Amino acid sequence: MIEIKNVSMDFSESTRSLTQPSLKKVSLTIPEGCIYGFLGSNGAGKSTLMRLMSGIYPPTEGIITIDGESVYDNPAAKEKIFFVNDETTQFTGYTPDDLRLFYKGAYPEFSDSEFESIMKAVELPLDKKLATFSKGMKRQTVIALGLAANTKYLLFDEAFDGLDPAMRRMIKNIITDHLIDHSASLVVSSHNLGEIGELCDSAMLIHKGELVFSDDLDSLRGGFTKLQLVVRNTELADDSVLREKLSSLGLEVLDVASMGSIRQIIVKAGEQEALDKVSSLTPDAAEAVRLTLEEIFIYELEARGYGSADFLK
Amino acid sequence: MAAQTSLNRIRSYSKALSKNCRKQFVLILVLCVFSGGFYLMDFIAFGAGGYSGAWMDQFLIYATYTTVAAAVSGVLLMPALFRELYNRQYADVEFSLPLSAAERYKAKLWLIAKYHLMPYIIAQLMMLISGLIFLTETPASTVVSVALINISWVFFTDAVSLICISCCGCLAECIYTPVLFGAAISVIPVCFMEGLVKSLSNIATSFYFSFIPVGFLGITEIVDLDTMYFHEHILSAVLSCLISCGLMLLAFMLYKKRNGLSVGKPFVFKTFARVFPVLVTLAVIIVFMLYSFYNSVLFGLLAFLAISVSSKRRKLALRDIMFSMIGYISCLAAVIVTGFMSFVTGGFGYAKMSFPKEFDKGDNDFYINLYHESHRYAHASGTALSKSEIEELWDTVRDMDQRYSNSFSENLRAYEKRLRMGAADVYGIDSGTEILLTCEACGEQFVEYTKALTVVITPEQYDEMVAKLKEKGYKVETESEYDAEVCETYEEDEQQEDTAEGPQTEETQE
Repeated sequence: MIEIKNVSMDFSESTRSLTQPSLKKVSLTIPEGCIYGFLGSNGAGKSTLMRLMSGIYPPTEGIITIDGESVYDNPAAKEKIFFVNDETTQFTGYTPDDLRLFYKGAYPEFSDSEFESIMKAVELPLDKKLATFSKGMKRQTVIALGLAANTKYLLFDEAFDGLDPAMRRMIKNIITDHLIDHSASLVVSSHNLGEIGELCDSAMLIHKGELVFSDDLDSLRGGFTKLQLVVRNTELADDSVLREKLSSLGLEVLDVASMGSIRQIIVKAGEQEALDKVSSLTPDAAEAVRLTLEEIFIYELEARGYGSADFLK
Repeated sequence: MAAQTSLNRIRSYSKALSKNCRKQFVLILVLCVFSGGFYLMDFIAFGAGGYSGAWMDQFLIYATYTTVAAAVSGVLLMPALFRELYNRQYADVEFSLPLSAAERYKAKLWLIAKYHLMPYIIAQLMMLISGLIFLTETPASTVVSVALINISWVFFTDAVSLICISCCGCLAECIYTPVLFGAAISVIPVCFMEGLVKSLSNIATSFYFSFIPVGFLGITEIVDLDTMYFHEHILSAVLSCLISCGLMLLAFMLYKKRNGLSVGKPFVFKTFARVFPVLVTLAVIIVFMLYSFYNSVLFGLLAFLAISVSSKRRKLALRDIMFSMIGYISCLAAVIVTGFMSFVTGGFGYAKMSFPKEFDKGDNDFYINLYHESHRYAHASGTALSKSEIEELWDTVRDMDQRYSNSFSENLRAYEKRLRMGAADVYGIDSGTEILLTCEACGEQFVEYTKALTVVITPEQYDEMVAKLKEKGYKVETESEYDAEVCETYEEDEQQEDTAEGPQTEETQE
C-alpha cells in the first residue's frame, strides 16, 4: 500500500522557477492490487506527486510510505516501484538490450524472458539504438522494461502518449495481464479520461496542487448527477435563483444551464437523492443521468474556475 | 548479506553506466599512451644527460602537456557519469532506481577509478620504471617525485571536478566550473607568493616553478619558502593526493544532498555560488596584478561579471548587477589591502627570512647597482662570501628601506605608485635613487640561486652605503670606471680567444 500523508511540495524554496506546481497537504492511499488513475489539469501536480512517490524529490512536508517504509533515499522501498516519466528523450544512445542490463543491475527481480517476450509481442528490435525509434516505440520499450522489472508498484506518467490505438489496446492488455499475474498495482496518469475510465478501479483529481477528490470509479460516477428539469415556476427562471434554491435543498450544485424550457443542472449527489430533493420544486419533468468521468472532470474544474469559457462571452 | 546485495547493486549499476563514458575513456587512453610514450622517448634519447639536462627537451614538453591533458580530461568524464545532476530525464530515471545516494556515488567513483585514475597511474608507473632504467645520471628520488607530482594532478582534477559537478545543476556549469576552479586554486598560491609577497617586498628570487603548477603544489611555495627542487616534492605530492581524497569525500557529502529538485539550477549550493566567482576573480586579479594594476582591475571585473551573468538563467535584474559589483569590489579591495599589508611588512616578514641552504656552501657573490633616474651610476661587488656575510649585507640594504619607518600616509602613496607600475616590476621602482642588491649562490657550473632586493634610498644613504662597502673592503666603482673595466675584461677575453683559435686555424690550413 502506498500512503501519502499530508504531503506538501514547495518548489519556490528550492528553485527559482515560480511556474512549477506545488502540492498542498495531499493525503491519499493507494491500495495493493488496484489500478489507480491520476487526473488533473495541466500543471496540477500529478507528475510532481509521482516523482515524490518514486523518491526523486523529497517532500517539503509530510511523508510517503510504501508498505510502511519511507521512500526517499531508501533502496528497499524503491525496489518495489518502477517509474516511467512522461518523456522519451533519455537513453537515446542505448539499445533495448543495453537498457535491459541497466535496469537488471538495479532491480533484482528483473525478468529477461518477460522483457524479451513483450518486445517480441510489440515487434521491436533489441539491438537498435533508441535514437532510431519513434516516440511510440520508445514508450513501448520503457513499458516493457517496467513490466519486466517485476516491481510491486508501477507508476506510469502519461505512459500511453504516442501509441497508436491498436498498440494502445495491446499494451493495455499486456499491462492488465501482468498486473493480474503478479498481483501488482498500477498508478497511471493520463489526460485521456476514457482510457482512465476503462482501465482504472480508482481515481483521484488534483487541481492546483490540491486534492479535489479520490475514490473508486463506481462511487465517483454515482456521486455526480446531471439533472434535466422542466420548471414552470417563473420565480426560478433565473439560473442563479435556481442554484440558490437547490443549494437550500442541500444539493451541491456545480453548474446550471438553460436550453429553452429545459434546465440542466449538475449536482454532487446520487441520482435518486438528487431526484428526491428536486421533487419539492414540483417540476413538470425531471430526469437524472450519471455523469461520465470526462464530464465529472470538466464540471469539477469549471466549478474551480479552470477551463471556463467565460472569457469568450 | 545486505552489504553483499549493496555491492552487487553497485557493481551492476557501474557496469550499466560504463556505456556513458566510453568515448571519454578512449580519449583518456590515447592521452595516457602518448604521455607515457613521450616520457619513454625522452628518457631513451636523453637519458645520459639526466632529467634536468633534458628538461627543455621537446619530448619532455610534449610528455608534460599530454600528462596535463590526460589529467584534465577527467572534467569531460564527470558530466557523462553524473547526468542525473543536470538532466531532468536522467534524474527521473536514476533517482527513482533502488539505489541509495552512497551506492550511486560509489558506482560512479569506481568508474572514475577504472576509466581515468587507473590508465593514468599505469602510464605514470611506466614513466617511473623507464626513468629509473634510463635516467642513469638522475637521482631516483627525482624520478619518483616527478611521477608522484603527475599522479597528484589527476587526483586534484578529479576531486575538483567531483566537487564542482556536485554543486552544479546545469551542463555548462558542470564543465566550466572545474576548469576555472582548478586553475584558480592552482594559480592563486603561486601568484600570491610571487606577486603579493615577493614583489611587494621588492624581492626577486630564482623562479623554480618550471613545472606546471597544477593542484595544491603551489601551496608548498608558501609553506616551504625554500627552493622547489624535485626531491622535496615527494611529501608535497603525497599531501596533495591526500587533500584531493579529502575533497572527494566532501563531494560525496554534497552529492548525498542532491535530488531531482536541484536539476537545472546553475549553482545548487549558495556557498559554492558565492565562493566560485570570488575565487576565480581573485585569481584573475592576482595574475594580472603581476603585470599591470589597471589590467587586473579590468579583467577581474570582466571575470566576475561574466560568471555572475552567465550563471543567471532568469532575467537579470539591477539588483543582481549591484550584488555582482559589490562582490567584485570586495575581491579587489581584499587584494589591495593584502598587498598593502605585504608592502608595509616586507612581504609579511619574507624580507627578513634567512637565505636558503644553497648559500651554505660559502661561495657566494653579490653585486650592487646604484641607480639614479633609472641610470646606473655606481657598481659594487664581492665574491666568495660566506652566508653570514651575504646576510649581513642584505640586512644593511633592507634596513635602508624607508617604508619600515615611514608614516602610514607616506607608505600609502608609495604603495599606490607601486601598484600603478605593476607589482612585479621590482627593478626601476622609483624615479629617484635606488639600490639593487643581487646575491648569488654559486654552484660548480652555474648560479644555483639568486635573491635580489631593491630599495629606494636618499643621497645621504647612498654615501653612507658606499662608505660602508669601502670600509668592508669591497670594490666600489663609478659607472665610467665600471664600464671601462667591463670593456677591458671583454677585450682581454677576445684576445685570449684569438690566441687560442690561432694555431688551430693554422693546423686546419695545413
